[in-house]
Amino acid sequence: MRYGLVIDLRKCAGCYSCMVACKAENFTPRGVFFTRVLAEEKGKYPNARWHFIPIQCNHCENPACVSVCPTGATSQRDDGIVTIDPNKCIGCRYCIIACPYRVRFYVDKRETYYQSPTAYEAHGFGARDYQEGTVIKCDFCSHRLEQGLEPACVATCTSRARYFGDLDDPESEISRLIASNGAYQLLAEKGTDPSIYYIH
Amino acid sequence: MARAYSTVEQFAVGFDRQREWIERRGLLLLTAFYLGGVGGGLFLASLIIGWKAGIPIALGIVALGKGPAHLLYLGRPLRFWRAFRRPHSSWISRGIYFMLLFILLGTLYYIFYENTALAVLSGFFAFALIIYTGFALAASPGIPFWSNPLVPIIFAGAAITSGAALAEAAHAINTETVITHLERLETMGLIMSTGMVVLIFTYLLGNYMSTIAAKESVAYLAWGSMSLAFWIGVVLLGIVIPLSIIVPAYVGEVARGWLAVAGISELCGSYVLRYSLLKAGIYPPVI
Repeated sequence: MRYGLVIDLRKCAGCYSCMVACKAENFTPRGVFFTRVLAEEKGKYPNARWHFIPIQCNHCENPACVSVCPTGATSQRDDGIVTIDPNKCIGCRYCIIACPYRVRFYVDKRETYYQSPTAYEAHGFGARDYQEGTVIKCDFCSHRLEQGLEPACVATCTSRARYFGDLDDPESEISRLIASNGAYQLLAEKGTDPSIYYIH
Repeated sequence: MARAYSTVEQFAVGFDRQREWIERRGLLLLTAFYLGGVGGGLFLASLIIGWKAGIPIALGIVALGKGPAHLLYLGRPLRFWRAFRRPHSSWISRGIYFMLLFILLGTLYYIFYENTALAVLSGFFAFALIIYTGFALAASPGIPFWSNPLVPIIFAGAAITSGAALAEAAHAINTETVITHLERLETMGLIMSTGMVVLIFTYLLGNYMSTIAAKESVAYLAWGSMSLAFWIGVVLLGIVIPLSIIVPAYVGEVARGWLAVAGISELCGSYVLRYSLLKAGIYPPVI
């Protein structure tokens, strides 16, 4: 069993709903987005176009962040998900340095968007164990997976550009999509073998 | 603020500089790397020239400088003991062991000064201490400029050079200096500084001819917004001034005050060299 994600960029409309859903689901601190939609302008007028590339933790098969972590706070589960134990993290940020995808975030101080926490933020403080002085990141919405649900970014994708499933199962929808569409991984040359594939 | 980089950069495709290990509290980490290098380098220089007084200074720099700087950098310093757990895979874990063993064996060597086994062992851990930071950087696949086999050699070379420079400055200032020590340090400084010129040039040229992100790093240092610090700090202070004093001193006579200037100038250049290398850590675009 290895959880993976396929993102069909031909369908992605750049609506940022995955980013917003992730933030709402995970109560990420101010300035932190576990899922981000990168925008890139390609071509020149009058043939210029925007391209959107959603990125998040790739839950790599060979994660650089796991091997460099000096405490074992970052580890890989049997299902391939890379997680961080907030009680073990010492905040050395070596994992942030090692990750080629820039999808890890250091929480220096847990600040709110306004002077005092909103009701949503106050709820989030209790719901998620984001400790100051530690690193946080996407965990494929593990709490939702335990309930048999898909990650929030997948469930909310308005154009159904995201497919979630088991990479080890050759009959799964994502395995078939990867095989039939020539899906690729980001920065594959780094040897991390990401679990997120893109179709372009 | 829990933010790795600016909001605009978070959503744009392009090169991205590492900030965690150089900006804000990251400067503490830079200082820790520097003090570890100077302390370890001074210890090795003291071993080579037979300068006993240099050993406690080197140990003090590491124990009272490097160690606390590392602790202050951590987000959760009280949990530092957890970093002992993974020496089999993490260079930070290994570095902690190297530092502690260096302090322990170095202290024993100072007490039992004539013991050859202790000299070899403490020298080994001093060398491990100065080279591990380079390996820690080289183990980061995300930054091509660092992911280079020359990085550990540059860090080790810079450490020995700056250790010799500190010893040289101390000897030049102290009028009761043993002359043979000063002569050996001049030779050492000349060899190391020349070697560093070759190393840095090879490293930059090699990076310039490799990946786009590594090329971007070189451009950032050589003619980008870091160029002033690089040319004045690394090249002028770290190489040109020390060499222009050490070479005449090696072939003839130079006033001791100038040797102290060479040493201090090299120490400043060595700090800027590490700063430049950390600052120029650039990630390639994800697509």
